[in-house]
Amino acid sequence: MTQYVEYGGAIFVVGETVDQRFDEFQTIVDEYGLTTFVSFIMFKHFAHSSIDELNDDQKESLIEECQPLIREALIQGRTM
Amino acid sequence: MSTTCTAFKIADLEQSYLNEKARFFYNMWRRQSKNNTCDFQEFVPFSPDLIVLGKPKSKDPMANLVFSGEKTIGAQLFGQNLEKTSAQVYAKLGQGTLKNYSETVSIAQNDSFENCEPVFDYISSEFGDQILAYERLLLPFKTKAGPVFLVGYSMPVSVPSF
Repeated sequence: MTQYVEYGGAIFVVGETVDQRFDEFQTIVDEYGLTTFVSFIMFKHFAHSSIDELNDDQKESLIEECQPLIREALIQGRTM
Repeated sequence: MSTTCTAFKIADLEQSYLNEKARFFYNMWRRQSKNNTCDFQEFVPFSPDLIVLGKPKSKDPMANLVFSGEKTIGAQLFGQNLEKTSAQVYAKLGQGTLKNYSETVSIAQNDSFENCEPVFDYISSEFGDQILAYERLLLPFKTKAGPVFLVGYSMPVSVPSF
């Protein structure tokens, strides 16, 4: 079960470490089939599209940049 | 101030020699859609030219923008992180102006979203004494869990300077 909380319109992925939060984030991305769009965002902000090349700061940043995408997927998922 | 939206047939795009990039995106989308893999990774290198929209919200301008590439008309007009700066755009253009624009352009967005069919049309909008005009291609991407996103590519005809 993916661990996230919504507060004030924002999505917070739950986890004590960056890697835990990033694992949860990737689970959401996989569950909803958002990989292509996450790649768009990575290409824009980090000039590459491979998750394996991200450092910890970039992982945190990617979770933040993907907020609108994740929020939209969750909202649509709820009404299906 | 008014905004108009003129629909074209997708066949016009397929036969056109003028919109080479749009035709390229459409053919790539059609090929990927036929495979039904929900994998559109081929679009990634072209993402600077693209926007991604969620479910249209005609009364809430820009609320469905989840990604804006850095070479799009929106980025050209309002900066590279348009998906995060809607408040600044409201302040610049006025919410009434954006509301009218958004209501008009979201009709075809809604059709594309609901029917999961591509849209090719022409948008023209007056912003004060300037005209924003562009051809627009919307391609629906249905993800494996069900949510639908629209990938948009716009070809500028007239871009104002705000």
